[in-house]
Amino acid sequence: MSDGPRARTLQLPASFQEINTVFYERGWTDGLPIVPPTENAVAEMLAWTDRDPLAIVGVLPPRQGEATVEKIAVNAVMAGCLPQYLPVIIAAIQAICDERFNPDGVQATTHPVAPLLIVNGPIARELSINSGYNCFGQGTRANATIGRAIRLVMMNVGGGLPGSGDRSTQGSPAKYSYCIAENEAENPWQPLHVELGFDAETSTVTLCGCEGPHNIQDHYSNSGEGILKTIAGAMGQAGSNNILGHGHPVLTLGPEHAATIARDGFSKADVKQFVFEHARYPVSKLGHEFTHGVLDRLNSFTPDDPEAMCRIIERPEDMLVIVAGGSGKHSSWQPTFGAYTKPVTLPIARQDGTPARSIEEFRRR
Amino acid sequence: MLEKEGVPTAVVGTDEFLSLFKLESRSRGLPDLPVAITKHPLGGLREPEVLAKAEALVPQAVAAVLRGGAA
Repeated sequence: MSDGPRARTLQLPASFQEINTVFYERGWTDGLPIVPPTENAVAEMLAWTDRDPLAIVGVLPPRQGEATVEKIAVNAVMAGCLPQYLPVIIAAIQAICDERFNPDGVQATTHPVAPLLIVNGPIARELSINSGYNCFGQGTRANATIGRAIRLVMMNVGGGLPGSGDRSTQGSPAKYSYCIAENEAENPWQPLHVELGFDAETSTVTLCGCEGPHNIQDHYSNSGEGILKTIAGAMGQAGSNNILGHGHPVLTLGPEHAATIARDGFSKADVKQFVFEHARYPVSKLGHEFTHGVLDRLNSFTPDDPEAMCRIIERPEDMLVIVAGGSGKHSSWQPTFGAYTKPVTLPIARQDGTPARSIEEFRRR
Repeated sequence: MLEKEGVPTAVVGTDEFLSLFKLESRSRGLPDLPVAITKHPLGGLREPEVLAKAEALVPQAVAAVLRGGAA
C-alpha cells in the first residue's frame, strides 16, 4: 500500500466559533458545527488503528482524493466521533472506494443516493451502534457521527460538494449520516454477515448505495403472508431506480414483522422469493415514453400487454434482508441507486487483514 | 478510458455539467479531454429541439476530436 500526502496543519484563531466560521466558509463542513480537528484530537483518534497514518485506504472520486488513514481521522474528529469508532470508518471508506460500489456514480449522480452503513458482529455491540428504536433517526452518538464522518470524507477528500462534485437534484437527509447496526438478537434468521459467509464473531461493514428509508406500516396483518403482501406492495412502486434497473434493494424488517413472518415458516430466502414474485408494478399504469424503449429493454414484458408487470429485482437473491428497530408494526425498505451500485461487505480488520474480534485489538498501548 | 486506449474520444454534455466534467477529467489525468457542449437540458425536450441540438453538436464533437483539446 503506497502512502498519500500528509494533511496540512493550519494556525487558526482559538475560539470555537471562529474556527467553525473558517471551516464552514472553506466548504469543509456539512453545514453543522464541527469539532476542531486539533493535532491532539487527531493523534487520539490515530491511537485506535494499527495502520500508518499516511497509508491510503482508497481513492475517492470525483477529485480522485487519496483517503489516507490520517485524513479519515481528521474528518472523524470533525464529525464528533469517539476515537474507537475509527476502525469502522476506515473499513467503510474502503468499501465505498471499491469499484463494485461505484463511487464515481454515487458521488456525482443527480440521484439522492447515500451510503447506508450496516454494522454486524460484536464490534457493533461494543460501540453501542443503535440497532433498536429509532436506529435510522437521531439520538445515538455512534450512528450520528460514524455516518457523518463518512460523508465528510466523501466531501473533503473526494470532492463531493453539493452543486459541483455532488449533483444530487434534491439530496436526502440520509446524506448527513446513514449508519445502523443490525438487530441480531431479534433476527429470527442468520444475521447479514453470517448469511454472507462470515463467522458470527467477525464484525463487518456492509455499504449499500441507498435512498433514505421508505416506511412500510402494517398493524393489521397477523400472518407472514399478509405482512409480506404489504411489503411487496410498498416495494413494487413507480419511481425508484430498482424498478428501472433492478440492482440490490434493502428490506429492513422491524423485529415484530420479522417474528410473525418467521413464525409462519418463511425463511429469509422465502422472503426474498416472495418479494421477487409479488413486488411488481403494472406497466399499464406507467407512461408510454417510460415503458417503450426504457423499461422494455430491461424486462421481458411486452409493453403493450395490459397485464404486463415490471419487477424490481432481477433475481430473488439480489435483495438484502436485515432486521432492525424496536417494537412496533413498522418495517422499511431502502431503494438503491439501482443497477449502478452493488453492496460491498468487508470485515473490520487489522492492517494484515485479520478480522478483529474486539475493538480493543486496535488500541495502541 | 477509451482515450487512454488510444481511441479519439469526445464527451458530449450540457453546460450545466461542464464544471463537473472538468473536475473529473483533470483529476483523472486527462485535462485536455475533448468535450462538445450544448445548453442544458437534454431531457424534457420535443423531438425537433433534440434533433436541432444533435445537429449542432456533431461538428463540435468532430472538431473537438480532431483538435484533441477541450472545446
